[in-house]
Amino acid sequence: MKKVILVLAALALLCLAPAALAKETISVYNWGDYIDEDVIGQFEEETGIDVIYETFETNEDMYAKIAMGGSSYDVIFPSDYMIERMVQENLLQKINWENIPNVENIDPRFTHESYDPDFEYSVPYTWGTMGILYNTENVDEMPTSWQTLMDPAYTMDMLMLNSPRDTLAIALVMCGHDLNSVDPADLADAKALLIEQKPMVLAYVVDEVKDKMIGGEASVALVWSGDATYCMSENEALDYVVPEEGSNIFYDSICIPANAKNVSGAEKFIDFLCRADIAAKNYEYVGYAIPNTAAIELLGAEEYNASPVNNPPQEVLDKCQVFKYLGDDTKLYDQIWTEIISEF
Amino acid sequence: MKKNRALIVPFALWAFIFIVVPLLMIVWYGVTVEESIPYTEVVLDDGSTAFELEDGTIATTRPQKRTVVSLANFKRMLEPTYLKLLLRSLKIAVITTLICLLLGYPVALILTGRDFKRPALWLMLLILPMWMNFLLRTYSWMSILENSGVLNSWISALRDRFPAFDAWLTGMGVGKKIIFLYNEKAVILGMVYNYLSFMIMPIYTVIEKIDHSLLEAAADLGASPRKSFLRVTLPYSIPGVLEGITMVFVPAVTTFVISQLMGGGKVPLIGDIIQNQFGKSSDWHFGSTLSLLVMVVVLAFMGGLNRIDKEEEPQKEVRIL
Repeated sequence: MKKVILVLAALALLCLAPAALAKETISVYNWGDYIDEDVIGQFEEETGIDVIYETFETNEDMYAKIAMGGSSYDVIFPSDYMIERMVQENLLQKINWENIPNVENIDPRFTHESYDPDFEYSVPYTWGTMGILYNTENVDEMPTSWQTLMDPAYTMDMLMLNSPRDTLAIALVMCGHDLNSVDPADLADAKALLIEQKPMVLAYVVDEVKDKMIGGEASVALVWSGDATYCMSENEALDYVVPEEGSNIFYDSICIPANAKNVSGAEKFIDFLCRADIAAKNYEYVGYAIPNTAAIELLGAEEYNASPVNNPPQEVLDKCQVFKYLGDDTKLYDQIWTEIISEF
Repeated sequence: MKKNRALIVPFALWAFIFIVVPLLMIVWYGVTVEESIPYTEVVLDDGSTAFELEDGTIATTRPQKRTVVSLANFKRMLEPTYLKLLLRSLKIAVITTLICLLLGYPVALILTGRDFKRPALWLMLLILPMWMNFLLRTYSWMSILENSGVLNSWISALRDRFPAFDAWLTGMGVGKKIIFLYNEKAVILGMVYNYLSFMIMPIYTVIEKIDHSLLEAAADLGASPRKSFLRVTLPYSIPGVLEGITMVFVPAVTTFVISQLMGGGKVPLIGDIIQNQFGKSSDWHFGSTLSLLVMVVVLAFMGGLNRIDKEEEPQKEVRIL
């Protein structure tokens, strides 16, 4: 009897294996920890398409892998300036909106940005800003200006980002220049300002900013709003503000690479992510602000908008700009940044 | 003989694919730069966009970058900013190596002592932390030394308990919180902690192998313990010392994580700048050029050590005789 079952099982496997192999798949390349994994399972269940899911840490890592060829993905999640670069280098394909009906859920305030002016290549997935995270125990009044980061009251009590582009952008805004400026004179102003600020800075950090702010290591810090959300959930004394001079707004968007193998599968996946209940589920897991109006209604607009991260005042948001792809001028930024941090 | 030679094939293949080829790639990236092709966007008669190159040819797709051989990055590398960073990296690496040697040599000596009981256990205790990831170990140093860290909270508890101690510290001009991290000293501490066992191990191994009858003979012939150390143990241990120096100096001069974590980005080393090139600044070419510079410095250092090693050998013979 046992033998019979074994033989039957083997036969069943033989019959099923080719069917399983022939199953439709899409391959998705996303930031680490940037989706509720249940959502992937739900997509597989509903459509019968298998998802091969891989993650990256930085836009540059993702870009290197796509640009070098060799690997093929159907859905990727680049940020604004990287989309601009990848469009220029013919690495993305236009999206056929007819196959993505749920795109109507996306708030038009967050589309047609300079990196994709005709709204052809990308669907915004999350968005965020750069701002000041401050500890209300040590900071009495809500900071309203970037000048807070030049206030001697916070000497050795502030954290800046160890990232040329982000920190220089804020310095440019403080000097009253465009945050995408590549004019050497503007950048010289920004550099002088950051060198002046340096003795007041406790540390230039990247990911460590979260642990340090939660632990009360410093009173003010320059942060991305995504990190701010996390810190505020861990330490109630922390609050976030986007200063009134304006800031950087960033988008992590969903795109289809030019060499995608399963475009129709990719379209189905994108449409699925734009569905209100799915976007809401991802918001609850990831915590970044979302551009999906229907999902926000589902979550409860009042509660969602109560967060300073999700809902900066419109007049401040109007002054926020996305990063442009700097091309060869990236070198200029790097050089200036190296000169700032190696000043000793 | 032939059989033995066949055994080397897997390693030779491995070395070629994972050492020689990547090295050649770094050299290639180091001596080239990426250049944008200048163009202007034009609208053709049929309304589509095209791209006109400088020589007048029209391309339908946007012209991509080209890679050209150039020494521009070598010129950039020699700017004071980068040389200053390299010098600082060397300085910190030398200090780290010296401290490791000063701490490590006596430890190795004590562990090999005749009357030292259970050296294996102690050695094990020294090595045990190294089984943990060095990032974790560095993070724990951070939580000890932070402004809001363990050490500071102990000190402030002591201050609350003993007003005299508090008054004394305040009199010394010490603030409420002592900033231990975010400076060169913290970086050096992090490196010494991480690399110390790399100094102890090779010295221990060499000293342990010294024939004990040599020391007995020295004692029999009337040498004081100090003299027999200087004339037997020390010269014999030189190869271990040199190996220890290499094992500490090379990672110390190239590290980037420890300086970022312990120095809070305020003590950038050449390794941090190289890492930036491959990350945020996305300039693999300049990153490779800087890597070549570091490689040359390390090679020169190892060459220097090698010469010392060779000079030491004949002297050793003489001393033993």
